[in-house]
Amino acid sequence: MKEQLGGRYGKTMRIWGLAAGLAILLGLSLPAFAQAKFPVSGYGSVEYRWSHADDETYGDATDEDLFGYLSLNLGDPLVNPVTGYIFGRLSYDLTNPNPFDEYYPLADVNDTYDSRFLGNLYLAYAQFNKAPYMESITIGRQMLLDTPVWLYLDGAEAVTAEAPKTWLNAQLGIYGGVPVHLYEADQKDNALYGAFAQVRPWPGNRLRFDWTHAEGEYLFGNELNDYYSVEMWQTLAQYLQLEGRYSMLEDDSHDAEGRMTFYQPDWDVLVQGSYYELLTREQDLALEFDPFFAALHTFYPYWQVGALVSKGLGKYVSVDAGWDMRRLRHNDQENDFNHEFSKYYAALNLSSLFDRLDFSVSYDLWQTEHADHMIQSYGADAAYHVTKDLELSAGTYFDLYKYDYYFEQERDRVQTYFGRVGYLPAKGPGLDVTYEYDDSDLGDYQVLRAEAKYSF
Amino acid sequence: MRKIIAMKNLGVFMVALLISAAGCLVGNQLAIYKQRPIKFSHQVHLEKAELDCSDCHTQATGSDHAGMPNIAACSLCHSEEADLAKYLKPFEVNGKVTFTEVTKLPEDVKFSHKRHLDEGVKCEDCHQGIKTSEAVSEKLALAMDDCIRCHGRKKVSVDCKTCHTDIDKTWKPDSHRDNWEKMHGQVARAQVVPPMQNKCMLCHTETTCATCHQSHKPQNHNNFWRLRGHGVQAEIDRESCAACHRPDYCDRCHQQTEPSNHGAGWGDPRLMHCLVCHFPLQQEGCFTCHKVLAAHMEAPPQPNTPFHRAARLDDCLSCHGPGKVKPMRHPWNGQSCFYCHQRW
Repeated sequence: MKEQLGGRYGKTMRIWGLAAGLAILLGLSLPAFAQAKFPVSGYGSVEYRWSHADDETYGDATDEDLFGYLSLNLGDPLVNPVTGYIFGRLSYDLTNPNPFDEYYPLADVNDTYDSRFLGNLYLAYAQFNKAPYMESITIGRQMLLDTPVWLYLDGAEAVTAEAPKTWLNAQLGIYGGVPVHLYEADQKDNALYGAFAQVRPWPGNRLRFDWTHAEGEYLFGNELNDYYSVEMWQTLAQYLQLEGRYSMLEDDSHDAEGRMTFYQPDWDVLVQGSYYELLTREQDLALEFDPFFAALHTFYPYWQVGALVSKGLGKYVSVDAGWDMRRLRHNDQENDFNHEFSKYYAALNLSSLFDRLDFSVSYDLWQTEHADHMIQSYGADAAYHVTKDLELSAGTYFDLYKYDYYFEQERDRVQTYFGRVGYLPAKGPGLDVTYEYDDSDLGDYQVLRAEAKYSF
Repeated sequence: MRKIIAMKNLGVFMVALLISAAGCLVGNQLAIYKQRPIKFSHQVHLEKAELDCSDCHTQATGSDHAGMPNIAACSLCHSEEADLAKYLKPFEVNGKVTFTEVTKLPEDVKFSHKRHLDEGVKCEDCHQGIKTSEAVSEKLALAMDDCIRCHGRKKVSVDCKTCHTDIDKTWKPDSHRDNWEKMHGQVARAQVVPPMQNKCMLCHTETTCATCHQSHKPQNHNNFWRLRGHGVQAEIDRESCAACHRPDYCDRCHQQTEPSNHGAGWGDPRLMHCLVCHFPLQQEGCFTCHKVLAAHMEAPPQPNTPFHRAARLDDCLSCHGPGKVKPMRHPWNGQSCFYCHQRW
């Protein structure tokens, strides 16, 4: 069965399976449509993208693409027993496919396919909201964002309703299916399943246990990984929360994390402190847990601390500032893809000046400790709200990349300018036009995007 | 020198940032100063005079609005005209006594005082601090969070439609400022527990996260980023990529697209291409794209002759070094020859 779900025939079966699921969804929805209230909302849009490069290596290049997006919210989970969601994209390469057997400055991942016409179905699921003793049952292509590692699968998830307080508000969940790897050529032998249990043993507390099993053929053969995690959230005071997580991968400790969040809306302040530690070497894992091993090789253990402050200063001003520091467990493991670094970022935001004008300036710095790698960025942008739905914005950003490839120090400077006109009402037709110009040491690049959107 | 200029630019930028923030802060304080609180002491009236809320706000028990007291109610205690005039002075607007609602709810919010009182909610449960207040100011206004918390505790719906008649999907909270695209990740990860509900879910569903992460790219993903910048970023911190990307995305592109420096003659052994990545020799670099370096795998092994069997590492260069009897056909990168030319 597993083999039938992966591979070439498996792909056909999955497409037909999804189509059948959608048909079931629509069929089940027909009575719902006949009900007094079955809202359907979302948007459809068509985007035209024109790109031009004056590349130092290649010379002049132009590319034109067309994209279509459809997002559909079917039903209201609070009212309707069956609801659904669909989100997908179609793309069409208006120019000849970009050659990928030589360098091309405007090549992107779509050019790695033979066809000029491509479709991506990102989400398509039906959700049953009023099953007895269940919070929800979801069938179809879905993302699970509550799990410690976000999961993307074609399958099903079932979550029970919260039990009464005498049972510690216990909640159970189970899921399983075939993982969605949108860009993987061969998805043979892929499987993803797991379960979780959650309780609220005392006021302000939540405790969750997760188990995830992932398997698939990746770099060096079939990878099977079992991931276990325990997470706890605790509200200490009205606006102060602590959370912690510990996980294991197979039989080894995998990582640990702690975070403290103070969020006081009356004072308009958010303060967060975090600690994270990767306890094991990561390599040769199933794709769900993979640390980009094929491109970036082994990921060595490290610890990282961070702090974030976000504060509103009155009605119009706010500042955000943060700092992160990473250190390897063993200094001698520092290499091209395992760096110790410090990161600093800050932003000043001015909102609703003269009721219509927003302005922000920001600064980012990534600085490695031993190798001379650095990324420094700063910029400014302004947005003017002509009406509630019409916005004009413009800005510029400067990035400095400093790195030492080829035993010489490289300096790359990028100046980006952008302008945008957006008319996007909550319902009805809208238009969004953006122009970007990049001036970098690799050449000059321009991108024009024009999106016609209809929201309902 | 460039470093000094960069630091100088940074210094100027930070000073400008601080001056702007200070200026706006002063301006904002001036704006707040203009809205001085109205000097009416609820404490005196509730504690010393032992009045009940409904003695002045007579409509509260019977209608949606609590209502403001009329002047006749004040004169019941402040019977002398001069005394009354003195106390009504703070309420004068253009010479006329007007009770304005400093803590008024937005117009689209529907709220019934009668319903809440009938359900056993006391005035001070919502109007916290009113009993001890000496002046009426915006500080006494209710925040939506207060309503949500209480609704959560009492298991009353927190759906937007419960209180709002006009739900505008384009309205953004104050926290969704210009920098929100970068900042929201940290806030979203801090999943709060009831009774303080997860604020994101008031407007967003989980599909919002998935949809946006699939269709909107961060501001720094410009054309340079696509060609080279992302590699530098991924080298420093690969975790930042994982917010949106899975390894299959990276692998597909890296296996199919050529870097700009792979120009004509790139694979020719007579070129320096090996040196630019392999000096000092490391397993990274080319392996990002090339799982197996075919040219190196096909390198001939060391000849199985008595002469070569007896040779030591540095003896290779005595015959095959630059300018020697039989120089190697590619530049020497300073590494062991046996990396590619396997022993028999």
